[in-house]
Amino acid sequence: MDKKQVIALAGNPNSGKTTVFNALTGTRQKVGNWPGVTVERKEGKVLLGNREVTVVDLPGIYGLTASSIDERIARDFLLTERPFLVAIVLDSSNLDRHLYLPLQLMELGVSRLVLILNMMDEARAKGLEIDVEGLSRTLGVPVVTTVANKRVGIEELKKTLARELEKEHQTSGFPFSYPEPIEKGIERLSEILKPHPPLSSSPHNTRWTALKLLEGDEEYLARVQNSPAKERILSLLTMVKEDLEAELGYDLETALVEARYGYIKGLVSEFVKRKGSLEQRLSMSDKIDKVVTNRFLGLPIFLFLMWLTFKLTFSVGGFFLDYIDALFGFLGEKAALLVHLVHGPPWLASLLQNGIIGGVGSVLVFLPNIFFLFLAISIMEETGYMARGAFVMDRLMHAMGLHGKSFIPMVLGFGCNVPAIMATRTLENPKDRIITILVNPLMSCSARLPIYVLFAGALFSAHQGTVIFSLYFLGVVLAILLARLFKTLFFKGEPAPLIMELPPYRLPTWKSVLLNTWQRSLIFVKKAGTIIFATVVLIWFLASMPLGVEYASQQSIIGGMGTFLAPILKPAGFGFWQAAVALFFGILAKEVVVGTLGTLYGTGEEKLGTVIAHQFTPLTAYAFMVMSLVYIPCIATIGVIRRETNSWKWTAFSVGYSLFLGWFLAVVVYQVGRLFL
Amino acid sequence: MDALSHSAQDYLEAILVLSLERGQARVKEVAEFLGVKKPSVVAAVKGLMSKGLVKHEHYGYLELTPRGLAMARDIYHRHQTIYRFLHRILGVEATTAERDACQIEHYISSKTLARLVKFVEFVESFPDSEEDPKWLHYFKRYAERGEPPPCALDKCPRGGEKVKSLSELKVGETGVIKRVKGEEVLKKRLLTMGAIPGTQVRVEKVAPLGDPMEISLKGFHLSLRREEAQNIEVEVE
Repeated sequence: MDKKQVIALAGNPNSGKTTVFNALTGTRQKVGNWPGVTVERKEGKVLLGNREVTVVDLPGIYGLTASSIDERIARDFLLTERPFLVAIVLDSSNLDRHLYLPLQLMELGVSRLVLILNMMDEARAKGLEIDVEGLSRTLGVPVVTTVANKRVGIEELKKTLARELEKEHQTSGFPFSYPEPIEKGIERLSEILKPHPPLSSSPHNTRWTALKLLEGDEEYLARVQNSPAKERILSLLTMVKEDLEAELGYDLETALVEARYGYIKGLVSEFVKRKGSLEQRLSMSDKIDKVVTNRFLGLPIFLFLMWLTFKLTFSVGGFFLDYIDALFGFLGEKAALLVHLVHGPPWLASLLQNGIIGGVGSVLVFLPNIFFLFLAISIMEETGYMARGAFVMDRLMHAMGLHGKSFIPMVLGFGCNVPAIMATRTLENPKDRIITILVNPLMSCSARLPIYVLFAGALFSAHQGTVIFSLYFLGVVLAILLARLFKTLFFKGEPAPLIMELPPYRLPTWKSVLLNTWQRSLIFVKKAGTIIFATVVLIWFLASMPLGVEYASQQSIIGGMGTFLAPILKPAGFGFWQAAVALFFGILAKEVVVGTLGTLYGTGEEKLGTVIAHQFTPLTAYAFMVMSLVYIPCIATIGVIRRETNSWKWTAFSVGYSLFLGWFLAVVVYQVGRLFL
Repeated sequence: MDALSHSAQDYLEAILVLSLERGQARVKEVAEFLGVKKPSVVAAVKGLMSKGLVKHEHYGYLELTPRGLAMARDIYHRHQTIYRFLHRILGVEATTAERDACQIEHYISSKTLARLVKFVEFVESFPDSEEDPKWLHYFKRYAERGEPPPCALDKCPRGGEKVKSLSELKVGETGVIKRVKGEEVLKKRLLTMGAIPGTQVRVEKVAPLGDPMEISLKGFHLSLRREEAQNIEVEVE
């Protein structure tokens, strides 16, 4: 394969990296995950000269430590995949900090670099004048300036990238060195590392390893543990470190970072001239923030925006949803009619109507919700509000063992858990993300409401509202308790700090917002959709076989399973096969429970209440509602859990714990209730 | 010197001390001084003689060779430093300090000892060396009577004049970072983002619910929880 096919795009979060990526690749993008983790991976194609090149968008990072999963991914990619060229996007208005990453990449041994000074307009507005030539000469790498959201400089960037791809040899004249004593320490350590290839494949790599060891990088320390020379290396490391720290007067890690920033300070003072009005943009952003994160207004504004998101997702999305639902209902009926007309077998008609068309329909009904949700979220992310929302809510969510950004998925869960779980994409930390995903199905979604309405209406007519409210409340309490439990069980002692940049407010570009929304919607259809569709067909099969039985009757496979499982539900007070079958169908979508009960009792949905009032007592009805609230997320939710956790293990755990917890709570309700009633 | 056993070092030291105090050292005196039997001294002295550290004159007089003298001085110096540290600075009572110094001197590394020497010198270099420096005075009162120092420990001025943790700063206050400590992950992240010593930070705001806080440094804004901000020491301007 031609090595010159891959360019990696790196940069700090909020440097406009995604905008540059979009400007380069347009709509020719593929979104997936980095192997084994939940971090989003994007790549796209761009034509440079007459060569088609893949651009891989690395996660937004500040440096190359192993302390965050994003930085580890970027580091591993650069070291193992060895992209031919790395382009780094920098915020020109804040080179003080943004030059740190290029420096780190040079240390890592990335020899072909292109610096992209993005947001030049903002730098100019701040009165900064950057000597691009000088910077390029000193660092020995090409430097391009852009205003990516206005497509300024993109053509020039493409030309530069194409030119760099043609160059055969790149001499990396790395201009930076540490203070004398540290350099000596690095040398001493390198000496001992040299004869051990896994730790030092090249002279440059040796230096990098030595540096990382001195920094106390866990990953590299672990590698030394596997080396035959472990004892010698570690004792020399301790010695060098102690000597250096005694000489410097404080810890080495700080000293190393300080030396790098010291060098950057020198670069900036040489090549960036400040003049005229300072910090204009910042003050504008500060003014907005004075209101948005204000002591008194901060919370109401956040809640209002949440309400707006909720409305947009479920009301506007719901408007389309009804049409899609009707459309598929119509298509299903017509297909069945067609089979009937050509004298096809009835099972085929049923397969088409309930299985295939119903299956596709149950994937696509969510699409409007998901699209509008991500529209709202993308706008909040692009403007910079998302970080403020997390800032405002973190105190509350942290008390629950979650992150400030977990609030949005939790609230959305009241509407539908599918988009809610997809919304956890905004959480960077995988631990926060997995916990939020695991407890999200406990937020009682709108599909569970019909069940509550049916049962509460039939048996608690006087206190209907209170009963339904108690179920929502129970869900929230369980979510809080389990979030704390899961945190201590699975992620004990792992810190998840809230060190989060609050970027200046920026106007979003529509292209970027729509592209983002579109890609995320597509992920849902492609990945989660497969599982949803497969299960719908499977349930159809179980309800229709053996051939000739009435759909979902006691004689069908699913009816048999219901009859078989009914005794297990007996301690919960509703041990009859109809209840068991209805719960099976509830896996398709929770509201299906109601329809199924209607079919099974042969009443239709109108008179169902009367039958329910006979079959159930208030106590067993409440137990049944608790079960419906907690047990197994619906199949669409399971699909997105699989997709978003990227793990069957977590998916199975989510299904398993909720099934057990739902049954257990229903039993507790019934058994304890019996003592008093 | 490393080749010498602990007891050999003790003999060497005893000979030095006796010859300094009484002008002479005899086998009998050494035995008394160290509380051992004469034959043991004779055996040990033979060993020291074979290494060329001690000369045995008539009538049981022992004398150090120039090399033996240098080595004994070194051992004695170590002993004295540890003794002064224990007795004079920590306030351990004389006999115990003497006995412990004998033990510690054999085990302490030369690096730690070098620091200890510096420390003792430092304390003794205070202008009025007859009296303890203030902080040492407070320490002794604390050690003997459990009396806390006049200012509670974490509010004591450390290093410069007004060093606080960042979480103690009020909205609108600025400070200069002195040190970043705490959890590896946290520290690495903060350092990488440029929160290094010497950087100016300003507390911009506190979230409506009282936590987290917003700070600005190097031209950008950062949110962090109070418990995280506690790990950043700043000097208030």
